Amino acid sequence: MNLRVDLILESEQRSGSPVSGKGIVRIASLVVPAIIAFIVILGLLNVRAVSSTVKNREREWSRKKIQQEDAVTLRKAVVRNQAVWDEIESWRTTRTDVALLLAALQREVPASVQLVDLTFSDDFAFDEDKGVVRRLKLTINGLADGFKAKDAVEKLTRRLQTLPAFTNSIESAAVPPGAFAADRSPDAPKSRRVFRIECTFYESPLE
Amino acid sequence: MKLPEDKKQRVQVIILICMGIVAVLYVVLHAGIIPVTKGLENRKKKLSIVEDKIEKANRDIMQSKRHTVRNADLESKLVNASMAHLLQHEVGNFLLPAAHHIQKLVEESGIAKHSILGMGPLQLRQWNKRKNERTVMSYSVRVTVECAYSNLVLFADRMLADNPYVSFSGLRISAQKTQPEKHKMVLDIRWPIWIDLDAYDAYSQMAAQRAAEESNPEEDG
Repeated sequence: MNLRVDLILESEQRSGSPVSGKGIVRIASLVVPAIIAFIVILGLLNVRAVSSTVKNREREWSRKKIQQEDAVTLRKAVVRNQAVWDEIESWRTTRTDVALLLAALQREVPASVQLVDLTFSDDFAFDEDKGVVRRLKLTINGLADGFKAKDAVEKLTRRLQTLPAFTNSIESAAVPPGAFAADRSPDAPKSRRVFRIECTFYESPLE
Repeated sequence: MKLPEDKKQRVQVIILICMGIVAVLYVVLHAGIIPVTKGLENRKKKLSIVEDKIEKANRDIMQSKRHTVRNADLESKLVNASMAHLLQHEVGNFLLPAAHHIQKLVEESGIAKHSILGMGPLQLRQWNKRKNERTVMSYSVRVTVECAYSNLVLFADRMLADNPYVSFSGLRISAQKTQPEKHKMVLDIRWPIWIDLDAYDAYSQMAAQRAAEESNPEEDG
């Protein structure tokens, strides 16, 4: 019968494993604080580096700030001058060439028609949606002789509607109801007619 | 250091050690790691803000060259418009220069008789959707003439060709039975004028300054 007697006290017993629990605790007690210290030092160094970068960039910013202020002032001046220029230019772009209109009228009036009175107005009116607009109106009063007087007036009205160079500006040309009638002047021949043609133009908003 | 032999005491010591470790970790975390991390975050935030500002400044500065050219062009156009096309005034009087100008064109157009009446300035209403305050208003004169239709066409053509901003705000042509070849005409002529009369001086000074710079380009660098 084999008998094995263990004479080693419990306190004297050692682990047979190459990695002992105590060893791990000892190593951890050194490594963990070292890692924490390393992280803190690394963080501090990082803070220092970033602080230095911030200072450099702030110095750069204080230099550029003056240049930027000048640039912003210049940009505002451009915006202001552009607005003034647009306002002035709108006077040119929205005006009607009256000389061209009068010359065109001279050409388009049929031979049997005589103009007695011509009124043209170009008013600045205010529209809630468009602002200040140019409102143009042309009124022609005239006489037409002969049995084709009505045809002549209608021909003139049609020509006004399609007046070259004004097709985009004349909105309508029409003889209002009752505006074509016999001439009641004492010395007027029976075949003479008086008429009125009213032309309206498209409104052009002023800047 | 040896742990006590007694199991109960050993457990107590181990718990104490654990509590100590937790306390130390807490202190390290709150006194070391968190402040460092927060400090780093704050500085990075600050850096990001400053870099954004620099980037914006760089963009603005980059556009300066283009804006300088654009502004010079606009100023040049405004100077030209102010001096050549907006109606000038003589000590606040706009009728005299207008009458002088009309007199010249009337003569050139072969119109013998004319009379001029000042109708005064008219300030245009400010539209609430308009971003800027108005800078120009209108000044009108009424010209009464007796001439042939062709003379009027010639006069209107010269008037409009002479100034791209002038317009006829009203026109009335009436035939005369006694003189069929001559019509009675009433013309309302409208110019833009600066609302602020000082603008005339400002633009003429700008023109003088530009002329001086052009004659001495080396002084300007």
